[in-house]
Amino acid sequence: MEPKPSKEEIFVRLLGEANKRWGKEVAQELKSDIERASEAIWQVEKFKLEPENEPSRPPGRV
Amino acid sequence: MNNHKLSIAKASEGIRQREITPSELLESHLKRIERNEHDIRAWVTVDTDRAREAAARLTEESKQGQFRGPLHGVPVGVKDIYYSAGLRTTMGSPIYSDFIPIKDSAVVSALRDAGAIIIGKTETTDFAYTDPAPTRNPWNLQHTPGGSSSGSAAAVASGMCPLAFGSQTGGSIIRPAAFCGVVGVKPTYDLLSREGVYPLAWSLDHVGFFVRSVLDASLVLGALTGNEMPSLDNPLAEPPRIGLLRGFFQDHADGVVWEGFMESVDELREAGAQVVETPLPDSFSVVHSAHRLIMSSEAASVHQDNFRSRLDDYRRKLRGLVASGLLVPASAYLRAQRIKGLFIEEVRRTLKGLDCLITPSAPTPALLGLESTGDAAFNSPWSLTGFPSITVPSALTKDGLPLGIQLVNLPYQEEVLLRTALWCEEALGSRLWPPDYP
Repeated sequence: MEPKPSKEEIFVRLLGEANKRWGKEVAQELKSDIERASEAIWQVEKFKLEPENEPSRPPGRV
Repeated sequence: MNNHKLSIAKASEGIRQREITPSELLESHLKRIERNEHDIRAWVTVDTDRAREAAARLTEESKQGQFRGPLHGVPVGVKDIYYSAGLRTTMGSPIYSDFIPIKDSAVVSALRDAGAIIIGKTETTDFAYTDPAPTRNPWNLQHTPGGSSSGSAAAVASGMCPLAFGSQTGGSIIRPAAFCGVVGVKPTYDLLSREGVYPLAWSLDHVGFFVRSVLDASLVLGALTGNEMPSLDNPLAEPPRIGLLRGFFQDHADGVVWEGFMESVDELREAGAQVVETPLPDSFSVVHSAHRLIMSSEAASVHQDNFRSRLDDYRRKLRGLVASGLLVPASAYLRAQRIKGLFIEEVRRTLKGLDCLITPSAPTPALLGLESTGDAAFNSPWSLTGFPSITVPSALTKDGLPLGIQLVNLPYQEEVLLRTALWCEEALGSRLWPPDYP
């Protein structure tokens, strides 16, 4: 089974995509935002969830 | 007479007793705006003529003995992301600099029906994110008022209006309210309609407001929801059970904030509150990451079309949010929504047997400079859950900047939350006015 990607791997992938979409100069400008997104993706990917953990719905009445 | 200092409760009573007319009340606030707006810069548009027409109509109604309710004749500011018919609504962006909606947002419509007078539109950060508005903090003009509801918080704090509406996706009501020393209310997600409010992230956006007291908050929420809300006549039967959250909040609060916060907690304890040390749920460790992914993905979807055609009109921080959101894979967004679902259930269990949770309202007092609106980290978990929260002014720092306590409760438990907040406000006894804008 393929291991979960590291934070750095996620960052490299996103930066590559940003290069393709907007060019190198804009991608470099956005580096700190892409780092932040990479960190967030890595954090949620490594957090253990069970199949019954469904996506959220609006809070219901108690 | 200092009519601008009247609470909504007192103004409403005064109008009902014919001691003051809606027109007189409005004029006192327009004078206040005229005198102080140059310093504070809370307003994008002040709709003087139409506000005066509305005040004249409502004055005539009150002379005929017709009162629409507690908001009859109350002047209100509205954040410039709320559509207001016939009145320029800019979203804080050059993209909408000339946009004039043909219809009111649901909240503006409800305010007008309730007899409130829309004074004008208050400053917002660009599209309610974090590129700062020009507004300054009435407590110290060198400091940020916070954001994104910058103008609304500053307008209420400086007595320009007793009520102003804002929105919160991360911390954009609670944080500016705390920075400006006023009460800020973020009700349960969708308790107040988001219809006609320009979105930042649909599943995180909340409509809320700023006032000067918890009693006023009760009146406003009662008027807009038709629900019975607490008054001074029906306080809590006994002191509240309050869950104190440490961990992340203690680790990330400025020393000055945590010290002030714990002094307030001690005061509440001495007044009779049961303060219960409450552990953070496990999923809290990823809550900020989940919030970030949901916010950026949804904001990217909101702005996708404009981003292509008007990229140069996006300021730096929003540009970064939208661009990074366009890169987030769907699987990560869905995983974040699953974490949100789990966190909601864990916070429900945490709140069992408690009247509320308590934390500082922000990690810092209002920051020096206008480049940053501050950190939403103490508020975004409650924006993620959709649970109601309120900030109540609690103290001043040695530098004279306000601090606030943030209370959180279960969805649709605004009555308990407000009752608890009322109790805390009485116990702390801090009703604050900026010294330069008495």
